[in-house]
Amino acid sequence: MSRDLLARLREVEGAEEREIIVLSLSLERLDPRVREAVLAVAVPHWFDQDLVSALIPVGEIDASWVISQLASLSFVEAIPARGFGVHERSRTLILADLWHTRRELFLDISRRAAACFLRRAEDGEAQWMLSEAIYHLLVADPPAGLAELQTISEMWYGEGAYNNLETMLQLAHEHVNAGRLVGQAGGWVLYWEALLDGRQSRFESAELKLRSVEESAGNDERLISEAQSARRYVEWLQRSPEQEFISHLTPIERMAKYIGRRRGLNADQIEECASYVKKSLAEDDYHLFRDFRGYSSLGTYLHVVIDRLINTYSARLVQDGRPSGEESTLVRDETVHARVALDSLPVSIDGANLDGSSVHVGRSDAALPQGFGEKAGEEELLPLVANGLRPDERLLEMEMQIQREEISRKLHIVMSRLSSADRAIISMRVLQGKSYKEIATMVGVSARRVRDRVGTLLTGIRSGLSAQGVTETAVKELF
Amino acid sequence: MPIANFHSEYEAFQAFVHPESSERILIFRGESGSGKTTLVKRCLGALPKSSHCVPIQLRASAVTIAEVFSRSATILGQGRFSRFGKELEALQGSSEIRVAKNQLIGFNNRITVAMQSEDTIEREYRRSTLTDAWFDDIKASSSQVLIALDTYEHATMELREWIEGPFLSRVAQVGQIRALVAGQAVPDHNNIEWGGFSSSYSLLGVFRAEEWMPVVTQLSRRIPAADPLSWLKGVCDALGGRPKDIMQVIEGLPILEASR
Repeated sequence: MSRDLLARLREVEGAEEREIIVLSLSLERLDPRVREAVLAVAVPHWFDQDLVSALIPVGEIDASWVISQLASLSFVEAIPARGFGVHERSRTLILADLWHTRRELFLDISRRAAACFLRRAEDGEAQWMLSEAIYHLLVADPPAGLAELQTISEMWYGEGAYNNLETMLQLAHEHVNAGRLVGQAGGWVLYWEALLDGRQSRFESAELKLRSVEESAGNDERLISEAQSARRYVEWLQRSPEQEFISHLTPIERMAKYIGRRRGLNADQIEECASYVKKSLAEDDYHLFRDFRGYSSLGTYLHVVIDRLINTYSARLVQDGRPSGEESTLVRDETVHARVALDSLPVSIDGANLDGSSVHVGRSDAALPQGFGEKAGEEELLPLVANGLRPDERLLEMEMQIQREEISRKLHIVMSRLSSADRAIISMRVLQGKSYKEIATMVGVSARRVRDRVGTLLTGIRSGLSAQGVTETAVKELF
Repeated sequence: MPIANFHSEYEAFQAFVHPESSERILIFRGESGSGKTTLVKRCLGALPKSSHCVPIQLRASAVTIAEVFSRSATILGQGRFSRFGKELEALQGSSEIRVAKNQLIGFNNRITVAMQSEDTIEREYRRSTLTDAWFDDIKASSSQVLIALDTYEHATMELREWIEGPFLSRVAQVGQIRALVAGQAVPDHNNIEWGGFSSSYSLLGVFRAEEWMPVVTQLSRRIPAADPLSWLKGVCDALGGRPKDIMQVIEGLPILEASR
């Protein structure tokens, strides 16, 4: 055997072929049950007793026996605070072989691993358990995996949990490198990596990745559109907010005066309003400029920001007892917060902006009426009367719709953190209007417990929304 | 697990953990399978009982900065991190998202939530505050703490920037702490802030069959060849001296029958 082995090692060229021979030798000498267990535990990055029980069908072999056998192998190593893991090189070889020769087994183990990690994440273990779950789901159920990846990426990116996001993308990238992802999942992984690079000032890397995404996106228009938005954002990140402010000062002033005039402000108020807009944009180290996320062109972003600032200005006029013209219809909107993350609003706007560019804003298909701001001329920047509403009424309606959609999006993010059981309880109580007693009967606990749980969950959801900048007033309206 | 060679690296480790050592950072670099993890394990096994060790395997374990903090609190005791705990509470006051049962989540998630912010400057502030508090707590202790990071090439970019910047710079200044970093890619020991307090070793494999013969004996294995040493030499050469692969071959050898 030994002479044969040496001869075999000498016959082949390349380190990988030799490693395969050595690994085969190691696997061949194992008890068949242990050998199958090695293949199963090589799929996750690490394993403990819980994972072994989840990956190997119940009753086949005892998990603690399997672990004791595996732990004695030289290519299995202890991983502090996790359990054990198959050595990286051995694992890569095993996975490549499984993927090509026993894919069904690979997918089945991945499904089990995803379910196990999801359960552990829901049970309150560290957030990164979700990353492991998504890693397995991406191959076991690609559409579901991609949907989860998008949801969690948006959540972590929005919260600034960049380390968690990077970890998840790093894991997903392993599948990309091994050619195990189908469709555009790889493109989306790269897209999120680029956004993260941009946020962390790795601009060159971000631009390279986004270019690569656009080149390989094929017919995925949404991916192409998001990548283009992201490129604008990365370009923006590299510029100084102060310089941007100064270079846009003239169109900012023109736009502020135009909107002020449309709102019925008098000449003095228009001047004051324009100064207020400029001052607000420069405040807090140009915070409103720094809030730009590139989901639209800068021109569109500024258009919406200025419009909202003027709403706030108008509201102040009323508070000061000097309302003007048509302001009485506008100042009722006291929930306007100029510093809402306006560029992440889930609407589409097709049209020209301050810079005259044609843009696509946001992520939904709820496009605004055609002709919105088509011309750069001041008198034609706002739309003509449509749907029986005056332009300012339409603007107000649009703003309210935007706010509703924004709150819904953030609510979705907050709700996605709840367990499925908690989501069901909230849905029954809030959306379906069921009584505590009815819910209690359905879930098999006391009505009092349901009431307490609903109270806790609603408090948590309110706090979660509040942490994302959704006002208390808006939260109360929702619940 | 038996180990072949690595004598100089092992000696360097012993000198490095000496309380009077001016070297506070030890780096092992080597390709996958070159024996880094085995060497690290052996080193940690020889750590004086008065020292505490926080071993962190970066591969496959999704380690974040929060995880480094929480892992050390788990191993060394949360009570040892009083200042860190206070800063954490203060930061949580402005950022904690209490959602359903997530409010009961562990220390790791609490730190994660406290550290995250969309604003780069704010995030940096939070990270610095917790890092400073953590080192202050370590400084207040009389015993030595060794942070051992293995498979460093798998660290996320954010973790890497933190390790190679604020973390190792402070390690260089605090007598009670040592950092051992091993991986295929490792921090640059020419770093101006902490390079002078570090030493670095490259693991190039163990090619000499003589180094492996004691391992064969220790594992009670027999090489069924007329010239065992030559055979083993051939294996070592073919496998590029990679200890992991050579060990697998040795494990696959026939077991030595007991002499009558």
